[in-house]
Amino acid sequence: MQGSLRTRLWITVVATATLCLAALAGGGPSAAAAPAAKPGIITSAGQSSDAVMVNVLANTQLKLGLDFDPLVQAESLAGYRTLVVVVGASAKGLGAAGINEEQEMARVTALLEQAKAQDAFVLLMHVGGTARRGPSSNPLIEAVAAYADAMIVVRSGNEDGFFTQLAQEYGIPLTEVERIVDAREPLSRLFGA
Amino acid sequence: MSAMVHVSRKRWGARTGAWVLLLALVAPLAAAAGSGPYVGHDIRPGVGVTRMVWLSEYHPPLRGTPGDTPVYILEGSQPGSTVFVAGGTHGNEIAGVMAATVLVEKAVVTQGRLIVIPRANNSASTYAEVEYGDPEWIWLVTPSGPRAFRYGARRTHPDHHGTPDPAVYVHPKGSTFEGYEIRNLDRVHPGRPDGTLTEQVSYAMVELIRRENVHVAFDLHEAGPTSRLANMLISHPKGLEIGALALLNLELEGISMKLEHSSEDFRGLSHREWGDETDAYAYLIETPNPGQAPDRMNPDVVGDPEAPLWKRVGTQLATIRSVLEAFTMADPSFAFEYTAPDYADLEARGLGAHLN
Repeated sequence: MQGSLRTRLWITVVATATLCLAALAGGGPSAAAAPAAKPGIITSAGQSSDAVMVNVLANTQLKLGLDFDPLVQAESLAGYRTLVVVVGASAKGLGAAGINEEQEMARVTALLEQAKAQDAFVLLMHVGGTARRGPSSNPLIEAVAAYADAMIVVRSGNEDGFFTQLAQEYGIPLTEVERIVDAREPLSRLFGA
Repeated sequence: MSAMVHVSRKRWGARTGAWVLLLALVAPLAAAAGSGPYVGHDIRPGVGVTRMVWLSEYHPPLRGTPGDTPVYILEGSQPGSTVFVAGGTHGNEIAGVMAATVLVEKAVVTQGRLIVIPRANNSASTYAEVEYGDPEWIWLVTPSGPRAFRYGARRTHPDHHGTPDPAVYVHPKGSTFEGYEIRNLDRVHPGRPDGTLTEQVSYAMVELIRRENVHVAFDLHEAGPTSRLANMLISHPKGLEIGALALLNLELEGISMKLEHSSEDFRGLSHREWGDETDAYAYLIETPNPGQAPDRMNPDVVGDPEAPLWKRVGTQLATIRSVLEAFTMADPSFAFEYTAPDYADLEARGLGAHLN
């Protein structure tokens, strides 16, 4: 009985991952089949400028038409079907936002809980390389990965296999890209653009 | 040359040519003679330079002081936006000095105006931190022969400052620094008209940005190779999205730069104060200088295999160009066209080949 349940769970994880991978790899070009549906919103976890980079990439360059609010609160998430979380902590950014690491973690956790409650697709993006890893960023990365449906990561941030381990632990597809601009293709495919 | 714009130098009439020839002959001599204890530099303005003034034009008390410095103006035949580039805020951050020098010697503007100060803190260029083995000069082979460029220090010369450093420097907007930072041009912005020499240099630069209605301003810097600042574009918040667009486009060319925005709490920095105190969009560019490594001793600031000077200068020039291209794309009120050597040019032929 226990073995059967484990097998069914494993099949579910693999099937989900396969669907997401297919979308990331080009298997789902139509908006209807895309795992990341609109409306979507981009936010930050850590308040680094990386979220602005992803916003420009997604909206100015790819014209995905996503909303952007680096400080969006859980109660403002209603109606969104996709949440893109750009992870990377910046003391300067947190300071400018007038919050500390604990408050940011609380906001992000509440946001992820809300996304889960409304069955929104959660995409983790990490584009800041090694500069956005370490004691301030890693707990945020772990928190978001626990809720993520897919991850797009610039390779230099995963040199120690941190994201690979998280992807395996949570059974979610991980797409590594060499540069931030290389994230355009997997991002487009996720949104069926 | 950059593929961004195509310029025919035939547009430049005989009058402009004569002006430029006169400047090319006179400017180095004027710089060498100076006005008072000014220290001169070997800068040979190119055909794009249409006027040269002194920074003291924007704050007359600077005249005749070691803080005065030449301001080169490159005007296009069509009206447009004004771009400002400052090198040498820190005299040892030589890639910024040389990128500004390349613009003075080789850039040609067809629309708008480019205003360049290659030695923003000229007092800081009068001495080097030789105790760390920093060179006092760098030498480059150029089409006109070997040329020497001063490798300066980070701060205003103590003898020029007038008063001993305080124990603590408190910026008028509240940030607190070590006392010697009162001589750091990039800690005292927006300056004070009746302040220290460094504060008056800052004040004059801010006056220039205001009076000349500068649209986009760049302050060119370098950082230690392992510093988190190395290869970074720091933007005032109002220009952050355009900065992001510029860096994404630059990355497609194979040049990776990080993006950060100005802190509200860390006062006195150019990108923060220029952006707050003027209408300009303000940016600061950092490249990795082996001469700023904490454990350096006799660093090779020109030929370092990891970060040669041509590469750092090329990165500065490419970043400026990419930001300006992003403004052209995203800001309908921005109109500026120019040509200047770019990363690929310096990679192909070296830095010296792109000087006069």
